[in-house]
Amino acid sequence: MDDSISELPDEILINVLSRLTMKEAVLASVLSIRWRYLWKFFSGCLDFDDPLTMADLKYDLGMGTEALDVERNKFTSWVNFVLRSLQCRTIEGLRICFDVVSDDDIGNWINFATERRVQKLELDFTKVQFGSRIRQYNFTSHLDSYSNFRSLTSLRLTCLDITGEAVENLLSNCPLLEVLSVNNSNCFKSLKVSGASLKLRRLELKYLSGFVDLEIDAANLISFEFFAYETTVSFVNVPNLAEVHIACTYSQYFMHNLNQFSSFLSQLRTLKLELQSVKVPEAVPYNIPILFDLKHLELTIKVNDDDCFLPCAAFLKASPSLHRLTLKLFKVEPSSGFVRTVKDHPYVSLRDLSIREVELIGFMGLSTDTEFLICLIENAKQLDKVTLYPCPPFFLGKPIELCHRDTKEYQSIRKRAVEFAANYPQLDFVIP
Amino acid sequence: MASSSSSSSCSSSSEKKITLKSSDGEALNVEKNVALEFEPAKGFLEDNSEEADDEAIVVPLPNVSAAVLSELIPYVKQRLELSAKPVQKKLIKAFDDQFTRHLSDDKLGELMLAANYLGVNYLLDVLCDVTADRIKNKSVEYVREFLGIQNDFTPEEEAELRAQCPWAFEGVDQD
Repeated sequence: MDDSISELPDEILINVLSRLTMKEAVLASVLSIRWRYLWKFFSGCLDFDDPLTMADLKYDLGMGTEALDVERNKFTSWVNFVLRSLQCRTIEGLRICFDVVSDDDIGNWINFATERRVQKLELDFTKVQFGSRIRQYNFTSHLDSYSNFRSLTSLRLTCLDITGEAVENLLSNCPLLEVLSVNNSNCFKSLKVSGASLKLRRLELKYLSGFVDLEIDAANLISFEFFAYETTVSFVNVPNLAEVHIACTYSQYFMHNLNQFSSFLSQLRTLKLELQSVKVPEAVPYNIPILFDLKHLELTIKVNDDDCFLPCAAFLKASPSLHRLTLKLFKVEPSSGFVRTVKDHPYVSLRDLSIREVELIGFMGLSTDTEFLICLIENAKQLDKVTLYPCPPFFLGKPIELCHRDTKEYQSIRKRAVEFAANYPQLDFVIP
Repeated sequence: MASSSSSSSCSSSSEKKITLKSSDGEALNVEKNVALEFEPAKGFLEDNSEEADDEAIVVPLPNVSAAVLSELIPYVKQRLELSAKPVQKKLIKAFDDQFTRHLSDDKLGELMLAANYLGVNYLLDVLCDVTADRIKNKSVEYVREFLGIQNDFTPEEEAELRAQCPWAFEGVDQD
C-alpha cells in the first residue's frame, strides 16, 4: 500500500482497527511507535473467550478447584486490563465467556457496558463444575435504571439470573433490541413478549427452571429457540416467524400437539427439533399439518430400536418443498435385540422426496441408519449431496472432536462411510 | 434521459456541470450533485455562490490526482443514484463490494487518502472495512509490509511490548 497509510489521521487507523478482533487490534501495537497506543481507542466488538482453557479445565477437573482459581484470576485480569485501557466513549460489543464467579468483577463489566453504550452484550458464565445449586450472578440488580441499556441491539445471558419481569421491562425500554437470549436462569417464571414497537427478531429461551408461562406477540420475530420443560406457550401473533428450534421435553408436547401450532407451521422455513428425550413411536405425529415452506429440517434422534426414524419419515411426508435434511444421531444400545429398519415399517412410504441435501451427524454405519439413508437416496430423485459425519453430534466443533478423530471407533465408522459412498458414484459425498 | 437536461426550468442541480481541477492539473467535468459530495468542493462552491454561471467555476483539488478522481467520480455518481432510490441496503453493499473487489493494495491506500481528504465518509467506511479484511489473521510482519509501515521499535522494545500482552500473541503466526 506504499506509505499512503502513514498520511492518514489516527482516527481512520482506529476505524480500521475497530473492525478487527480486539486481539488483532492489540497485536497492532507492535507495528510501530505510532501504532503503539492506537488500540486503546478500539471501539469494535470486545471478545473475551477462552474455550480451550475452559475445555481443559473440564477435562482436568480431578485436580481440584485450585487450578480453576488460577485460570479465573488470569482471565479476569486480562479482561480488567483491556477494559481499563480502553478510552473510546462507545463500544460496539462486549462478549465475556468464562467460569467467572467474582461478583465485583462481573458488576464492573456490566457497568462498563452500560457506560460505553454497548450495542451487543453477551455474558456466559457457564460453570466448569455442575454443582447441585451453584449461585449465579443476579443480572436483575443492574436493572434499577433501564435507560442504561437503551442502546442494546442484542443481549445474550447464560448462567446469570434474571426475572421474566425484568426481561419484559428491558423489552419495553430498549427500542433497538433485536436479539434476546436467556440461557440457564433460575428465577424465570413467566414472560409476556409484546409491544407494538417491538423490534425483536430473534428470541432464545433455554433451560429456565421454573418457567411456566410464555406469551409471544411479536410481529417482527423471525427466529425462536426454545429449550424448555413444563411451559405453556401461546403464540398470539407471529406473522414473520420462519425459524423454530425446540428441545427438551417441550419438544414432546410440540410433537403431540402440532395442530395447535398450525398458524405458523405452514410459514416455517427452518425447523429444528431435538427428540432424543421423546419416546418413539408414541411421539410420531400422525397428523402433521403441511409445512408448505419448510426448506430445512433438522432432527436430533436417539438411534436405538425399531422406529427411531419414524418421526423423520412423518415430517418428510408433510414437507413438500424441503431441500435440506439434517439428522443428528445419538447412539443408544437397542432395548430389544431386534432392530427393525424403517423400510419394513408399514407406515412409511417415502416417495418423491424433494430433498437435495442430506447430512447425517453421528453416522454409525449400522443397519438402522444405513437402511434409512438408502431409503432416502432411492426416493429423492433430486438428491445430489450427502454429508456423513462419523463424529457424535455433541463432539462436533468442540476441541474433543480432534481427539475423537484418532480413535479406532472413528476410523472404522469412517471406513464404513467411505465404502457406502462408493455404491453411489452419482452423488457428491462429503465425509469429513 | 440525458437529452432532457435543457427541457424544464426546474431541472435539478444534478444536471449542472462543475469543473474539478486535479493535483496534476487535469480538468474534470462532473455533475454538480456529485461535486457537492466532496467537502472541499462543497465549501468552495458555497464561498463562490455569487458566481452566476456554475459552468465557469473551477474547483481546485490539490490533493487528489486525476487518476484517483476518475475512479471516484463514477463511484459517487452511481452510489448517489442508488441511495436516491428506495433500494435495500443489500444492493448498496453489493455495489460497494463490486467496486472494491478488484482494487489493488496501492489503489486502496490512494483512495483512502482521497476519500478522507474529500470527506466521502461512506466510501471511507467501506475502504476501512476492506483494509481490515485484508489484514485479518495476518502476522505482524505481513501487516507492516501491507500497510507500508516502518518498524521503528528496537528489538528490545518490541519484545517488551509483546511480553506485556502475552494473550494477544498466543496462537499467532510469529514468522
